[in-house]
Amino acid sequence: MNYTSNSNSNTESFAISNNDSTIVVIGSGAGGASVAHELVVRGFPVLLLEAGQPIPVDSFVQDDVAAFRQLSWPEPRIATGNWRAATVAPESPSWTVQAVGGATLHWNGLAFRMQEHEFRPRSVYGNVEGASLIDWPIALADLAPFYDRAEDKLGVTGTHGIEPHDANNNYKVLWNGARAVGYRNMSNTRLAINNMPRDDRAGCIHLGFCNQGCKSGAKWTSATSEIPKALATGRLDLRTGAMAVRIEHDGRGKANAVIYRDAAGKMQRQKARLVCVAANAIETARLLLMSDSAMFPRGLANGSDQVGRNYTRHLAGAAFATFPMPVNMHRGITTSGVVYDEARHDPSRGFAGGYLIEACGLAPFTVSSLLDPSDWGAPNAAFMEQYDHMAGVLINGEDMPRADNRITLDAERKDSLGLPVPRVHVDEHPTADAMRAHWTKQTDALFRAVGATDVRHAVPALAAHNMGTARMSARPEDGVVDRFGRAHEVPNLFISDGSVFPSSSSENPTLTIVALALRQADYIASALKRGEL
Amino acid sequence: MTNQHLWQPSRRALLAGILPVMIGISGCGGGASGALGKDALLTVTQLLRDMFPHRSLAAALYASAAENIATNARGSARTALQDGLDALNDSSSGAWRALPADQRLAALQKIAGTPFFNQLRFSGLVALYGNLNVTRNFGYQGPSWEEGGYLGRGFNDLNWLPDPK
Repeated sequence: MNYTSNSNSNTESFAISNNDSTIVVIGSGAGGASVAHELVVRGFPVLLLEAGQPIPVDSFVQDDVAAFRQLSWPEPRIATGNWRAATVAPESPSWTVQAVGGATLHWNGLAFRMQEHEFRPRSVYGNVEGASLIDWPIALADLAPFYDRAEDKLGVTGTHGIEPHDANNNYKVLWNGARAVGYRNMSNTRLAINNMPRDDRAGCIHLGFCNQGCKSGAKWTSATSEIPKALATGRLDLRTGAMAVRIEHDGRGKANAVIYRDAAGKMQRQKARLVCVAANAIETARLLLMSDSAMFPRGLANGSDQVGRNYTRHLAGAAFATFPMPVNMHRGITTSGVVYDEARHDPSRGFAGGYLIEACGLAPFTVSSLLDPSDWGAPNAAFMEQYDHMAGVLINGEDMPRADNRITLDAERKDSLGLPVPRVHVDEHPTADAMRAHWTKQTDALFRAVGATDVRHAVPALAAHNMGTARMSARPEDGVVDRFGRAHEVPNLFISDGSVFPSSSSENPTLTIVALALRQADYIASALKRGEL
Repeated sequence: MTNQHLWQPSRRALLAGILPVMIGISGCGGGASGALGKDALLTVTQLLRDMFPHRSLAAALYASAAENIATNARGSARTALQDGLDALNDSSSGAWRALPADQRLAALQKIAGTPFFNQLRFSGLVALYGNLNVTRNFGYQGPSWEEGGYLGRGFNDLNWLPDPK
């Protein structure tokens, strides 16, 4: 990957001057890069601000600890509340990326559509006490055509005639265990990892390091797809090392400039006619909160006081099991297949929504760091010694939104740029324990059904999927943006990342983020052509 | 294709002060060498052997893991480590590492869950299970890029269960 190699299409010299007709997109991950790409291919120049720098594919490191250091967002976030992150990782409760491509560099490539009922959680789940559920202002049918396009763009296996990968060792264990306990819906499709070369991306060679940055380039990332494609149009001005710190507005309450700190550390004021924010749900909320003014005293577009609230991650779990025969789960795709049977709404289980059971072959260090810290000494050592006889799963479960689970700005603590550090508060909904107990029982049975001799369960501390902090709502008082991600109060401000999710669903969020971004870009392009915005 | 290495590792050094629990590097620098005394190093080595007792591992791997931890413990982290070791020795009426195994483990049980114990445990995870020379003993094969991945090297060779349909 080389951001200057497109110079024959003039990308190197393309620069947007500081004029008030500029479309500014903040963040180059799944959402921001998709919006930017869609707009430039329709002829609209875009200025894309990215806080991080490009990380060339060949410099990814096949080592969990080194890769964590290479990719991670480098500034502190303070975790509070009763979630595990507050005690285990009080200054880094979420693993997000600061680099061109954002979290698409470390995502697993699991590209699921949300289910029809998950767009209507308030209607389907009812009044869940202690939760702030609302229905999405869109239905699956509204998003379906964009899911279809997103699957094509990402090259999702099992769609558009794209063949699945051969089942790897870890998925073989999951599939057989699932079948043995009566599950019926297992699949190793829906991966945005090329099986064969497609769309200028290589085919997977089963490196075993998907989360550390895919060194072969087989996994879809916005850094290797949308951004080089957008640069090739000659209409994208990508500014890296550019950290947006404030969005300004004019006297009528329309966004008109973005203040950012450039790579040299100098503050810049870029005029804008339209701003899309896609900085990942913690940073997106933080940016809006930092953009307070006399007209918006609680933060930009925050008359509803919903900015930062209803923060959801996913309820996450992990289970590792050892067997008499070898597994070698480290060989190949990290999350290589899924059981869907528990991703339904069945209140008899004691919780709303459901969860996915995802085959997950992690390296020894990460396995050991997930195991219960109170397990140490001989029993734990014996378990780790059986690493090559071990299979693993991750759980991705729906997290109930709560009004007070929220991002706020710390009143005193500043980061290295002098900006207020975000506080991430989560008091888990009381039913979280019921969901965890359920999947613990189910995964235990699943592994033992195929001969596991030992099963260990773990609660991963770091949130990977950040959602909900600028949610879309039919009524302005319930959320921050409308069904196109357009701020209820600021007509030329759009949110283009997972912040807009009113609920987490049980599916990994990336495909939905991309589908929403494609839908939003269509809407913006039409409005621009009509002379609106 | 030549690559523009715009990514600057030094910027990531910021992480050292931010993710102490996650990656086991504590303190914000400022300390001198960070090296502990010889006795303290031997105590950390024994702590790792008792926390992560693997008969298949050579003694040198534990010793180098202990040195790794000592080198990375700077400033306040070094003080906390030394204080924890002192407290362990005090509660053992002398040198904890000189106690018989059952008494060493009993002393560890008493401090399990303390910040000192948790930090040392996590540093131990990084230093041991993050070291391919250690995990190779458990069948882990590590980086695969140079070998062309696990395609053709066993990514789907499990044969004691039927293939998924």
